[in-house]
This record gives sequence, structure tokens and C-alpha cells, in this order.
Amino acid sequence: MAAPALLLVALFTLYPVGRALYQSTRIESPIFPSRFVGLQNYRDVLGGIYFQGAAGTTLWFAAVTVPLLVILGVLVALLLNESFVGNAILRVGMLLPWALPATVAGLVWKWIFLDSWGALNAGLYTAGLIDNYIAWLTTPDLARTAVIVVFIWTQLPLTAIFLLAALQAIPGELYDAAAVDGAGVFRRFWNITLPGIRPMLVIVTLYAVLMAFTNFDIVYSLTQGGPGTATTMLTYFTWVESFKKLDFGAGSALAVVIALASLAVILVLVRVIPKGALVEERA
Amino acid sequence: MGVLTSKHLGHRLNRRGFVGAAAGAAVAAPAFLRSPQSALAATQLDFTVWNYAVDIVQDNINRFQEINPEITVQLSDFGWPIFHETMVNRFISKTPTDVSYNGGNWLNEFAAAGWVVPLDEYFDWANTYQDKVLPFAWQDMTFNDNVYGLPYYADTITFMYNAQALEDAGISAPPQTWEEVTEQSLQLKEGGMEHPFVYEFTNTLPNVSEAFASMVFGRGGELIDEERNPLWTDPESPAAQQLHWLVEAKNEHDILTVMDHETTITKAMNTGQHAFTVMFNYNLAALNNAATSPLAGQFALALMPGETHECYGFAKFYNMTQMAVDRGPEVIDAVGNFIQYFAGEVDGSYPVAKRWAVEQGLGFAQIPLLDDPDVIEAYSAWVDVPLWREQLELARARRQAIWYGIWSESFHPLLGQALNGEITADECLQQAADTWNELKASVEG
Repeated sequence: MAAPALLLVALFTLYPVGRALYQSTRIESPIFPSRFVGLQNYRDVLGGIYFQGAAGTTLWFAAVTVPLLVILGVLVALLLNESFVGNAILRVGMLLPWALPATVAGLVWKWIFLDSWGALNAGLYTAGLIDNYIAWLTTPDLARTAVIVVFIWTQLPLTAIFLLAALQAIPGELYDAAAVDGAGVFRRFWNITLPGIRPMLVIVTLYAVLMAFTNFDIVYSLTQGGPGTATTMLTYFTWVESFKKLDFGAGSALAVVIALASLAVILVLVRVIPKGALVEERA
Repeated sequence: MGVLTSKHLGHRLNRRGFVGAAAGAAVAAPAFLRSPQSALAATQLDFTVWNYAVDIVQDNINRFQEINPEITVQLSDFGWPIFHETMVNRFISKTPTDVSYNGGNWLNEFAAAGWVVPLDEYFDWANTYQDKVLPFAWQDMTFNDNVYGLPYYADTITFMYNAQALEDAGISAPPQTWEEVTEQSLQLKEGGMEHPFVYEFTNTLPNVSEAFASMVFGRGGELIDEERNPLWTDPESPAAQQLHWLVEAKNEHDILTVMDHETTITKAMNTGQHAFTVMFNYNLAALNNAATSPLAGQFALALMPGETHECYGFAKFYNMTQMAVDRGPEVIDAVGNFIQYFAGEVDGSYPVAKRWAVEQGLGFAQIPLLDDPDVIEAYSAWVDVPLWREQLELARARRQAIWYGIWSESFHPLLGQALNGEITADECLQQAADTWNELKASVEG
């Protein structure tokens, strides 16, 4: 019974990984002669200024977006956990950004951020808040900010829904008892809510890290890695190496590096997370 | 292999037999459907384009099929920014492609890889067009002395300006040199126009380096020498000077802003916030199209600023692929008919090229169309025709190299970094030269 499943895993996981490893040790390009080069592709990409820039941008992006996503996710989940008119509609509606393909989200936001006739500039100008249009997508820092905004916009719904599910699993009696004991909102959050959603927080954090490291679609559709290389992250850089510069060897080497880096980050996170964060320990 | 019929299947076919027969039919079907020997099936051509005015392309195909009922054409279209990698992947994976758009910037690469074939090796009529096609376009379609295509359209990358904006600012004539572009831009800026010059730029746009080349040509320069060595390493070279101009215009004078696509720039120019741009010439038709442009009629062509006023001329053309050749003589003949209809002379005229010129303002390479009254009338609505012809006579193609397309993918981010002020113009030029030389060494040894 396990054989077909193993075969599928091998076909769709092991073979691509093996192929990437093989290609990463070769010059593989339609216009250059194919040959074995050992670790040269790794030396070239790791030593190149483009890699250093892309790696720095990726790390910076993850460092900003992951905490932001988790904190906003908790706040939105807490809001959705309250009873108010329209809550059900809000829960369904807020999933819409997540349901949109990331490339579509990127294109929608591109129309918002465009310089001379984007919706954001038009709105700000009409409201008298700016005298001249702001070059959102062609100014490096603003373009990075734009990518962050779109990333959060697309990822926040799922994060919040995960955390909402965890919130709803916390027994209401605990809050009732705390209220009787005179615990305030902050104390209830710190002593009941946070421990209750801790396993989900770990999962959501890991998810956010992975999504930040593999963010490609938004960059592709919103900024194409620009202006210059301001929003070029490792995944986009890998795509450029492979499919724009047609250097499949270097692209594969980069893909291997990204996979190893992601693995390392996850391992570090798992190591630093306190024991019992994922599973409640019982006597 | 024969064709399966109900007679072959018979009424005694059991379930297993039916499945086997169906599988056999499925295997046989593609061969049958594409078989040129079949009296029932037409020869199908797979035609690949970038997605400009696809409705007109399809209509042209329909007209072609009406007079060539033995040929059917399957159209596939892809975005211009991803066309290069799309075609590379199609060729590598052998996705059926018989005829496709191509450009001079990728011809060397595709021809060297053996993906596209010279027309003159298959069709006697190919070389007869040399005298009927503008020289820069013919050069752009030529690799190793073989011509690989006939033009879908041919155009120039030109300097355009808002004449009304200049007049309002008291500027009597458009700039003749890049120094004058700076002076006039500063004057316009003083009058409240924040970024008078808008520059089409994004990392993935294939024509960024072409627009740069056109500006360099205006100064009388070139990008590479005849041995394909970069010329921009000389600080006095027109290429180096132009790159410095762009960087200073953006970061020192703050007169230049970048936008990612010609359609974006067309809209932006129509807000009245910009006065100068450099784009494919056909965009002037869009800028002056009263149906879509609020400021239509205000935009004009000027000769490319610089000492010589030359500009970059190019052809986008129809290529026959090696895959078409591999399919046999019927397909080759069908491709020949197709290219002749779409780019060649049909009953003394050039119907498709003329249609593009009249309806869309696309440029053309077919010399007889230069004097076609319908074309002149259509062009007169959006451009000063004598000036356009003067610029056309000053147009020239760019020297090419097999690795040019790949190199430009490195050059664009470098140029972007320089425009951002993250690296200097000199660093950009040096790194672009290093990349060029590495690629050259990889190919030439």
C-alpha cells in the first residue's frame, strides 16, 4: 500500500531535489556548452554582490514582516473573537485577500501605488494631503514598504483565522474564573490567552518565516525586483538567474542555498522555542 | 497507421477491448490530426506572439485562413516582458512552435542555439526582399549573412515632447542636445513640473537597453565595437556620457522619473506632469490619439538629441523554427505562405504591414509603404511626417552578440541601482563591462 505513495513522493520531491543538486554542479544553459564545474556555481552566486544584496533584502523583509504579521494576526483574531454585529460577514470577507492569487494581489496593488495615476496618489492629492505625486514603486524604501504592505495584506487573513481557531479552543470558564478573581483585560490576555494560543503562535511564526523567505509572486507582479535591486529577494534572484539569464546551474545552486537556509532558520526556531510550546505536557 | 472506425471496433468489442482500442486511437489521433498527407486535415501552424493587439493578429490570421483554407493557424500569446524566457522554454521543451515573433536582440541567441532557421535557405523569395526593406531592419533580421525573417513591424526609438508644455514655459524649440534637455527640464521644473523627463524603465522590460542605445546613437555612439568589445569603458564614450546624464538627471537635477511601461508613460504624459520621453515611436500615435488621450495633439517628435541625431532602428519579425522544418516540407511551405502573407508582397501590396501602420501607427520596413497615400494620411494625424522620415533616415541597427539578451538582464538592475544612487555611474559601467566580458569569454573562449 505504501509503495505508490512513496513513488509519488519520490517523483515529485526526491527527483526535483536530486535534479537541482545535479544541475547546481554544472554549467547548464541553452547557449553555453554543458559541463561539470563542481562547486563553482555555489562560489559564484555566494560571492556575487547580487546574492549578498538579495540575501540582505530577504533577511530584512523577514525580520520586518514576521513579527508584524504575528502581532497583527493576534489583534485581528482577538477582534474577530468578540461578538458584534457583522462579525460573520467580516470573517468571510477578510479571507478574500488570501483567496486571491498573489500575482493578482500584486497587480491590484500596483494600480494603487502607481505614480502619476495610481489610486493612492490620486486619493492623497484630491484630499489635499500631498502637493506632488509620490513615487511609491520607484523609490527604493517606498517600494520595499509597498511589498511589505501587500505581503501583509495577503497573508494576514490566514494567520488571523489560524489564531482565531486557537482562541476559540480556549475554555470560556477560564476567563469567567479570572474575571471573578478580578483579573483585568491585560492580565487575562497574558495568563490565559497567550498560553492558550502558544502552539498556534509557533505554527504561525514558522509559516510566516517560510512565506517571507519564499515570497516571489508579489515581487514579480509589483516591482520586478526593482527599482534597481531594492526589492530583489533570493527567490526572485533565483528566477532571474534561471529564467532570465538562462543560467540553470546558478539558479539551481541558489535554490539549494535557499532550501538549506530555510531549513536552518526553522531548526533554529524549533530549538529556541521552549519545550512544551507545541504540545501541552501532561503528568 | 489506419483510422479506427466502428467497423474496425465491431459490435463484439468487450470492455477491455474497447479500452485498448480507445487507447490506440488516442495514440494515433495526434499523428492523424497533424498528418499533412491526410486529405481531411489541414496543415496546422503554431504561431507564437507577444500580446500586442492580439485581436488584430487573430483577425489577420482569419483573413489568411480564408485565402489559404488548407492551413490552420493556432495562436499563442505571451506578455512582452516574459517573451524571451517563454520562447526559450518552449524551444527547450519542444513545445510545438512553427512560426514566432522575434527581434534582433534575441536572433543571435536563438539562431546560434539552432531554434530558428534562415529563411533564405528554404525560400528563394527571401532575399528578393532585401531591396524592398529598410537597411536597419534587414540588418536586424540577419545573422551570419543569412536573413531569418521578414518584418512584422520595424520602428525607431525616438524622442517625444509635449509641445504645448514647452510653449507655455516660453521654450521656442525642442532640445537639440542632452545638455539642452537638462536646461529645458530645469526651466520646466522651476515652473512647477516636478519631473519633466519620464524614462521607461523596469528590470524585466526587454527594451530598456534598446532605449539606452538609441540615446547613445543620438550622440553618434555605439555600445560595442566590431569585435564585440564594450565601448562604454571609455569615460569619454557616448555610452558612458549618456549613462552619466541619466544618473545625474535623476539624482543631481531631479528632473527625471522612471515608469515601468509605455502604456503607463502614455497615461502619465497625458496628466501634463511630464514633457519629455524616449519610447518606441508608435507610442506617439497613442499619445496623440484623441479617443484615448486627453492631451492629444500636444505631443510631437523631435530628432534624437545629440551631435548626430541618429537613433536606434529595429525590426520585429516572423521567424520559422527548426521544429517547423522537422515537421516536413508541407509545413515549411505553409510557413512560407504565412510569412509571405503577413510580411511580404501580396498582389502588389503589403496588407498586414499596412494595416498595422494605418490602424495602430506601427512602423514598417517595407519601403514601398513609405509613399503609400493611406499610410501618409494616417501618420499625418499624429506625427510630422517629413520629420519622421528624416529621423527614419538617421536610424541604424545595433551591433549584436549571442549573449546580448542575457547580458541585458544583468545590465538593467545595474542601471536601476545607478538611478537609485546605490552605485555610481562609473561602477555601473564597470560592472556592466565585467559581466559582458565574462559572457563573451564563456561563448568565444
